[in-house]
Amino acid sequence: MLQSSIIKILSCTLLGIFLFADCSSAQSKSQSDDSQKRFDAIDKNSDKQLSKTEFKSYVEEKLPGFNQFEKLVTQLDSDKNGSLSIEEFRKRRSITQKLLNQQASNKSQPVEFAETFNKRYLTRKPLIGDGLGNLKAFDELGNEFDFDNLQGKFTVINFGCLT
Amino acid sequence: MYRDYNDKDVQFFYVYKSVEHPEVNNFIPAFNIEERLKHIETAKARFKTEIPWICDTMDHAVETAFGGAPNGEYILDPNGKIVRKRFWANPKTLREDLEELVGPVDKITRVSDLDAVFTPEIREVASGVVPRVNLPGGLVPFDLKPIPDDNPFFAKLRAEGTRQLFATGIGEIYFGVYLDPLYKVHWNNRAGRVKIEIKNGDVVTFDKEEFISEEVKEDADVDPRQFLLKAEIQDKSSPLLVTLTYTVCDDDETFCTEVSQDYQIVLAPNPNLGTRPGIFLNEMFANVRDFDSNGDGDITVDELPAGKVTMYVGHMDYNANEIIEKAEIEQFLKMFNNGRGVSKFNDGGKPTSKNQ
Repeated sequence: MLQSSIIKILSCTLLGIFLFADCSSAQSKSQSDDSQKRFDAIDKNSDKQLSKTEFKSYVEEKLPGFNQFEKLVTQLDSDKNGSLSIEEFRKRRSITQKLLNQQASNKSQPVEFAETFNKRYLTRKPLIGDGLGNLKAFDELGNEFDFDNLQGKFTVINFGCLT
Repeated sequence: MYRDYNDKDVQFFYVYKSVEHPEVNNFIPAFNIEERLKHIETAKARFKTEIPWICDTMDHAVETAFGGAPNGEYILDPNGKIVRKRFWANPKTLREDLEELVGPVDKITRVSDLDAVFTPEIREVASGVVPRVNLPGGLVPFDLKPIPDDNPFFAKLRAEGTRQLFATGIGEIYFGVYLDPLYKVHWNNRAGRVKIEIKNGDVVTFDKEEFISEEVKEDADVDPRQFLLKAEIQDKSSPLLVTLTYTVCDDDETFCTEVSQDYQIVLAPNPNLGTRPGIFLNEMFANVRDFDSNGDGDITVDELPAGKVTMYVGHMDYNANEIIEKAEIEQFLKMFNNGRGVSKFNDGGKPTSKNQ
């Protein structure tokens, strides 16, 4: 349990750094400029291609917990020439995200946020079996609406967000 | 569900509570019951829904009585007792509950059988033309009391403070001035700028006593005016008194008017005033297309981040087929910026990769 939690936290944190580093710097520059800058920094021999070694160093630095490097390269390297062009490098975010999701789900399936909140919410008042007391509001014409008048039928009440 | 079970002695209600995410679908929190009823009228018309609405009181009596779930769902039995409760509504589970409590129906109504697509209103007046202020994270809304006068609150003040301000008394205050789309008015930028005057600077000290919005090139627009100010609270027990002055014209050009309206800002947080989309939009939704790893334009459940499938599907999968289709993404993003979708000015300075 602890191991899977650590992996999940690591994945989220590292994924954030790896994938969204562009977003934070994008306040002043375009994302594509950032990708190019990042690409140039990794491309140590400036041959406009990232060798597997160059890219591996980058991934290991940014995502130490990531164990699907080979799959990542295979999926990125669309022309199968063994290295990555800037266009191929730009696709790293979505592919890495998918692989990280798979990595996390192999260890333990994260609990859906709604399920977590629903469980917690069951212990918060009003509880199952409780009534609503003397609760009043308005109908859609502005007349008084008395919740006591709901009795006699099953009633579904939905608070869904209008916005 | 309503169509399936309304004839089986099950009654359905939506509850209109305070606006959870101001600015989404252009709604901003109402200042009185009359404005809330107008929101309901608008929503009924735009959603084409037959389900009746209950309007919560201005002091949130219904929301509080039900435990304050943002997207809650409840079933009461014929004695008025709660028999099912859910923090986050789920149509599948609701149907299972009703099948158990009331029985199954012969023919299930699907979303595709309904003509219930929300149509955002696209205003002709310019929007997305005033750069948003880059706001710090974690802003919390102040409790705010508008002082009624003869004019409607065409423009509404929103005041928020940083967590540091609430904790230490020193931090930043955000004043946002939002036009209420209910009144279909726009800023008259040739007649004057938006002005905020602090009437009792001994309660909170700012670096100046009045704030005026920047000049805007367009003659008219509907963008919010924003002010982010360094502030120091001197006296928490007294409200901050503020006067907001602005000039608006209605979209039909039948009137223009300068309005000055007073507010009391209670120096305590009020979570019932919701969170602006800028706080969460970019992180959660603006880059949602990036999840489309196979590039086919649709997002399937396996492409979504683990643990957050319900969140994305629950918000964006309008036809409930567990695929977020390209058209659904476009429809969802239209809730922002007067139907124009997400822009780099939507959220306070974090441009998005594909939606600018």
